[in-house]
Amino acid sequence: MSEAMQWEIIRIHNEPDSSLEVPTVEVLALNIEPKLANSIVRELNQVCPHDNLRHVKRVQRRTSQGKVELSVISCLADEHEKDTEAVPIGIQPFIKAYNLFPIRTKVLNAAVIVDPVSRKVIASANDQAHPLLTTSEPSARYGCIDRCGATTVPHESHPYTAGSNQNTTVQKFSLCTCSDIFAGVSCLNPWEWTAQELGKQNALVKSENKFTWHPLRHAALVAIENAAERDRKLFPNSEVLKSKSEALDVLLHTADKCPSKRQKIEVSLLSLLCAMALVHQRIRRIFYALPNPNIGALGSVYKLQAEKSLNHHYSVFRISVPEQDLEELILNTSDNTSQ
Amino acid sequence: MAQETGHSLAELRFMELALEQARLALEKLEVPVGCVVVKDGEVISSGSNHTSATRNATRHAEMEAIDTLLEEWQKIGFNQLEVADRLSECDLYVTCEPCIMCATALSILGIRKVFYGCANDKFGGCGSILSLHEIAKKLPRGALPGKGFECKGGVMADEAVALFRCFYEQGNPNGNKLSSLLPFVLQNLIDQFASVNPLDKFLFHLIKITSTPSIRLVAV
Repeated sequence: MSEAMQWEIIRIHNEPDSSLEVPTVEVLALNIEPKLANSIVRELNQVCPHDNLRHVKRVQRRTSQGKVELSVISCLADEHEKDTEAVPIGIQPFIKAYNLFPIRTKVLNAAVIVDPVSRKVIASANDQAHPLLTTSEPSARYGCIDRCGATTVPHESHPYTAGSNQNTTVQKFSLCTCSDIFAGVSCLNPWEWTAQELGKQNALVKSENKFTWHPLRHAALVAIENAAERDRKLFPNSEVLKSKSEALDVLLHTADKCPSKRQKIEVSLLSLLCAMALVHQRIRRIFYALPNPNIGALGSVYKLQAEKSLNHHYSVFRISVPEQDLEELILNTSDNTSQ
Repeated sequence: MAQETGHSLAELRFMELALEQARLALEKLEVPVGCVVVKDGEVISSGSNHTSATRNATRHAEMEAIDTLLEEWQKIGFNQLEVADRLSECDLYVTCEPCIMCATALSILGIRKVFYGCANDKFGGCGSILSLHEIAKKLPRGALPGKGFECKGGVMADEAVALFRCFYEQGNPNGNKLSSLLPFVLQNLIDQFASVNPLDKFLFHLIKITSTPSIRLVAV
């Protein structure tokens, strides 16, 4: 029973919501001593009742290096406050008494497009809305795959064929690719692009990139672009459009040969921008790890997969990733990058 | 004409330029949607649908025009705030209602106003399916600085629809040819039989509405 929380995939159904849905929200969690768990939870229930989150387990358990760690949800994070220390006044004395620190989880964003038949990674990308991110992976073409190839796929793997044999590996792989960019996740607050670090951009001009930053280059969109570019390289013949009927045949043929209906793994939270882009690109399945309470399009705020009028519908799954795994990946990658 | 349609001459003029872009797309066997971005009464960028050639279904006219603009402004050396300031003075004229993706993008960019031609019953993000131009109303209270934009539809909608009709008559290389052509085939049949027998006309309308392939085949 002391096992860590397992990875779990939850299907997000595409029926329209029949009742009021409780949107996913950000909460302030507190790491606590297991011995004190009972008294802390009892006191918390009085100071800050868990009324709106009755369906959520208040205490989360995980093991780190053999030690059991518990965290408890104290309250909803104040949506107006970005400051982590902004704790409601009612809980402040309680937190002081137990010497606790409220935590908000960091969120990361990256996208990987996978061909479900061959289980190969077609393309991957991370957010390029921020200038900072564009430099860490200058072109972000297949950079992420190259970097992680050493740990997840054999060295001889070509970027196009780099992939993994198990879904779990692919998931971890995608987490790994994104962990060097905790800075703002574009999907979470897409309007924040104007508030980026202005001083940095001029030094970052890369000749191979059209843009040093781009407010719409969210991970999913860049991944789609990379996948499309790969298609054009691998199947160039279908671009020969001599007549309209021939064009139709060629393209349909190509669609059969190259996987136009793809499986997609998304770490993080899709905004409407990305979710609709994935509809357009006929992506078959979407897996995401963290919901987007702000402008989430797959169940958090909007539910795009339930819109009957759309001409394509994907299945949506939420992957429940143990926090511990996320943290480990972040630590590992930051170690690697610092060397 | 301007008074009759409720659109100003400037609106019609800019929409005509967007339609020109759409025609260019049609010539390249792309879905005929075009747009222009207007600032201070001048067209500063234009774009047309580019999804077939790029095999990237997100390369809509709006995205193309925005990319051209951003590239140009970044070359000049404008920073994010300067770009945002300029975008907030820009209007977009597009021949078809922006889809959900593009409408979200336009909101993110902070475009001032969007004029569109025909509505987009499948993907429309400016009222048809979702109303992203009014996104501020939908977002959780105070969560984000998300803002909408002004929207005006129906500017030269007939011309935009005519282009779509041309496109589907010649066949969408990416779409299902049979299904896209059937409505037109049936419409022709309806037109032909209408002069013969009113009952036939009624029956064919019924077939078109039920849109079950097997029934269609039997009837045809």
